[in-house]
Amino acid sequence: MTDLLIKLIPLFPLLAVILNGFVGRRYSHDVAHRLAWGSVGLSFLCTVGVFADILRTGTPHEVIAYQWIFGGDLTINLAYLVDPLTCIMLLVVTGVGLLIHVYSVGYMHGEDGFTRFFTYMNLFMVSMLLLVMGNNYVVLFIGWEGVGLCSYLLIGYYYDKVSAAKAASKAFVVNRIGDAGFLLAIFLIFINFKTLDYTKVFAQVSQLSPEMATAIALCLLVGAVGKSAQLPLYTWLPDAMEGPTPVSALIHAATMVTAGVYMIVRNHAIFDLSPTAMTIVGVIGGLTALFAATIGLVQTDIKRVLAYSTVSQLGYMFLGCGIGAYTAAMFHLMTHAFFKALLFLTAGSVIHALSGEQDIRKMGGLSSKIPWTYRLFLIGTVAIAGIPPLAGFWSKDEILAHAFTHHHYLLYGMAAIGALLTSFYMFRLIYLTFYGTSRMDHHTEEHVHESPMVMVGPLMALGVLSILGGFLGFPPEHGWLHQFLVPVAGTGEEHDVSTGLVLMLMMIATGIALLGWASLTIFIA
Amino acid sequence: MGDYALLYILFAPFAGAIALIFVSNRQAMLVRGIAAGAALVSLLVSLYLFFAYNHMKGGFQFVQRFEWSRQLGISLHLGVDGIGTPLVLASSILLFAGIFVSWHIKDRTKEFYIWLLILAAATIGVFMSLDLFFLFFFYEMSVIPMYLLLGMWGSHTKKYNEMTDPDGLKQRDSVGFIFNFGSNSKEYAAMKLVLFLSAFAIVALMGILLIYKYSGLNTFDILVLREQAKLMNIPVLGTTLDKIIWLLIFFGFASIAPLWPLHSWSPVGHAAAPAATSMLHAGVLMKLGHFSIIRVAFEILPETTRELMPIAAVLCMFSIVYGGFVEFYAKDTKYVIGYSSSSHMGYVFLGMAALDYISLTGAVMYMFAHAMATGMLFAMAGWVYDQTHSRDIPSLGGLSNRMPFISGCFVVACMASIGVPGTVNFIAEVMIIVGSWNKYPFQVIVAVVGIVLTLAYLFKMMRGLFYGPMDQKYSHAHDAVAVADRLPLLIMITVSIGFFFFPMHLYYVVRSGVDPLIAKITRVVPVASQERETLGVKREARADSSPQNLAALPGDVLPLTPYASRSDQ
Repeated sequence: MTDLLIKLIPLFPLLAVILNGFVGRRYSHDVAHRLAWGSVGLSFLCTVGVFADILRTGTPHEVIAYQWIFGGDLTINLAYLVDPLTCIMLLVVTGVGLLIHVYSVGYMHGEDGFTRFFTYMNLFMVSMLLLVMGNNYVVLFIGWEGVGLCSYLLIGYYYDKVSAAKAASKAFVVNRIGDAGFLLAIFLIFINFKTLDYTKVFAQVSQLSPEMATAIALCLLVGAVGKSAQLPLYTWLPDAMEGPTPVSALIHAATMVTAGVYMIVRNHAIFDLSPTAMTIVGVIGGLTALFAATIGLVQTDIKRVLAYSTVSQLGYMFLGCGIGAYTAAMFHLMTHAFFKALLFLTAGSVIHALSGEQDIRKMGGLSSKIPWTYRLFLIGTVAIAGIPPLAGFWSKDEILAHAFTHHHYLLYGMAAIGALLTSFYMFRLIYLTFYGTSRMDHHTEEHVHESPMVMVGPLMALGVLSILGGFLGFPPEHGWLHQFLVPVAGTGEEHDVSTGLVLMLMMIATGIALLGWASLTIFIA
Repeated sequence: MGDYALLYILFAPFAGAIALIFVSNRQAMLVRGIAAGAALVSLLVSLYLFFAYNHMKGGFQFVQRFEWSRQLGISLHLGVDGIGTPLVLASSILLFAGIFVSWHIKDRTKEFYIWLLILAAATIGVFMSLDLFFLFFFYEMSVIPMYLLLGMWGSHTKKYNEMTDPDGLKQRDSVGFIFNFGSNSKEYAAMKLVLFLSAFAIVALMGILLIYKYSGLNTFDILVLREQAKLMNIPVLGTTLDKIIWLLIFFGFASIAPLWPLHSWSPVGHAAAPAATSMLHAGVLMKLGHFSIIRVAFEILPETTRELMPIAAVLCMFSIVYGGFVEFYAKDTKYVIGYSSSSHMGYVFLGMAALDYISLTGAVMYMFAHAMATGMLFAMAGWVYDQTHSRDIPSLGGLSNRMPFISGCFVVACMASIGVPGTVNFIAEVMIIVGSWNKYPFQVIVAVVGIVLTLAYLFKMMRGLFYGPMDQKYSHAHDAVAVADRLPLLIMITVSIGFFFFPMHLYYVVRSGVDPLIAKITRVVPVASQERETLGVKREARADSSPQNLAALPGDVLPLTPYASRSDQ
């Protein structure tokens, strides 16, 4: 039963792709969008079913959906592996994906390529699901390339805009640079293990020499860095904001860009063998978290601020991986998916209200005109800034605390400064957008309107998740999520950390967030 | 029809060409119909051939032999093995698609189709020849139609059209001064291509004749030669004869492949050729080079191949990287695709050079996959040219507004070309790279980086053609709407994607051809490296070893049991 559900998960969106792609022109937009979000909804239901089963039995499922290549010395199947890690990713991808699909119905209403948009979105869902469900590196790579392709198609959705076309090519090419590293990693794995199945590879992973483990880990890291927009391959992500806003929310915030983190966590057995590679992961993460936050301070485009913030937050996840806090990284991945999707979608709602204006210098005073958007944006901001008890606080604090208690003080320092800057630029964004006097031109101001229910509804759901999502990891290091992920991420070495130190670190983190806000109010005044 | 399948495939296009002679040029539909009918017969029988080929049995199947000259030892000996079968299929698919791609040719339609059919038939002939004489005969025969197809139905490059002085006369550059036409004209391209390929064909011919003479068997039959020819250890010019023959054959055939630095005819030729010709040319004609090297050099001179194949491993890197860089700066759509083809052929050479089961299987599958991908790209470049009369990327743009179908297919073709999962190119590329890693890790890294390069220029072209605001002067451009216009693209896309999802039959078929070959080549590795001086004695010792035993001997990797029994005669 569960095996059937697992096989069905990627099939529903695939069916929608085929229908919308080939005969989509023959029926109305209403049918097209119902097919699109309906299929994702069904996938979500299947995921919940699988999740319930895993929760009950605790055993991972391995399913072979299709025997693909089966030579004597080379066997590759379309095989799925659903374990707790995959479950978390599946829930995030289908859950957040469903909300964003519903939101898109309102946002893309009346656009020319409405059906085309949903075809690409569903194709993205299929690829992303393959990426997280694959039980070998080839399926992972198929999904990996598929999401890259869909990202390309969706960034270039407004194909008559030169900037969009350029951004699309740039995103794909930069991603492919990372993919070259990833491909090499796959070859190295094949050469060493003569197989590409996760279970077999991880079973024999201890036979690797440290040098080879470092080489494989670094090649994997190149792939992850490209996909997750880390230094030095981060440049494509801000440009990718040329795509429609739901795309930015789904692909460039919640799901695709986190694939790199997922891949590192999935391969943590290899990374664990190589302290060098781990250090590099951590340093790249820390530098990106800090560096992208400084750029975010001075951006004037609402979506680009959020894009740099995404790069920065992904840096935290990499930092978490680099110090061995895999559960914390996954936790942050999950909460980030909630609040960043919320922020992007509310930003889309703002843009929608202002007839396409994205420059925050031409906004201001919107809090009374679009109250729901404002409230939800505020929730997202408080969540990302790390103010308790919202989601971002718990996950970010866990990474910071882990860095401190494991004596990575330099990384802790970078992350702490990054957190200060995060709070600063996010509150800057909210002040410039929603407070103060209006700087809109008269024509735009007349048309300001709250978004329709089909858009606000998903936002509310995301808002609730952003508020409550953090409690999945409560109490820190011993929450439900940690217990759930133990089979994959391990328990980690037991560390004698006094409760007092943990509480103090929490207070410092809260203090940093509030300091960012306070310094902004002083700066603005 | 079973046994005569090869004859149908080979002679259907010839019969079509002969039938066309008796049709008036004014009956354009009839002309097209006959051409399409002939191609369809070929296509259907090749499909039958592909699926009826027994990969469990392996070896040469559907063999036909007609004695031609007993004195000289020449016979029309046809047969396909696992390497030839997919290439025959690729040729007939591209021929069928090419007929429809050139549906709108108005100028001398009949003659165009006659030459196109002859071109394709000759190509198919090479893939099924088991006789060196006829292999060379068909090889040369495929070059000649190119001259006419380029010279008459081709197009000049942009520079040529600009090179007009105020008096309206064509200005001549230095090359044009000698030959009395501009070096950017289609006539120049046609001449360069034919002279270049013919010159190198002579080099290969020398190799073939040396084999014929020094084997002393008085036969051109590859099956006899590969078992009995003793060409090793005959000292000539300070080296041995087999090396000289091998080099002559390798470089003679590598020119059409085209291996760097023998590639310069290829982009020029592609750019000038009409769409269908480019398709056949890049799709299958280039593979004649690899195929002939495999069929002649690998089969007849296995030991020499093992010694000298590293040459290809070195040169293929230049092919991959050089092609990639040139393309990145090319402004002409067909130049970009042409250089991309020559860059991709570097991957095939890499797969061949590693002499590994997986990598050579990958190389053959890549030839098949690349035929589809590049066929699509050329077909669409041709369509864009027909609609806009421009191949200049900077002056084009925004066409996806006018041609959504073509731009959609173009994305698929680009993805296929760079080997994104979802197309059979991916499988082939991965196999080449995985197979070559042990022997040539450096080349593999270059190849993987080369993929990024390929992607950069293809996407640059994609963006240049289809994205951005549309120029009003192209507002009359049409999408491919009619079935005849869409059919070729859909066929090629279906094949490319279909074999990704169901690769096993193709894999087994190719593998059945590759296994005995590699077993034969790699089998003697320890002998050659340790006891070179006693090689002659060793060869004597195994001269009577039957082919059945060859594959069963321990090599690097044991071949799969199904292919171990190989029966040719």
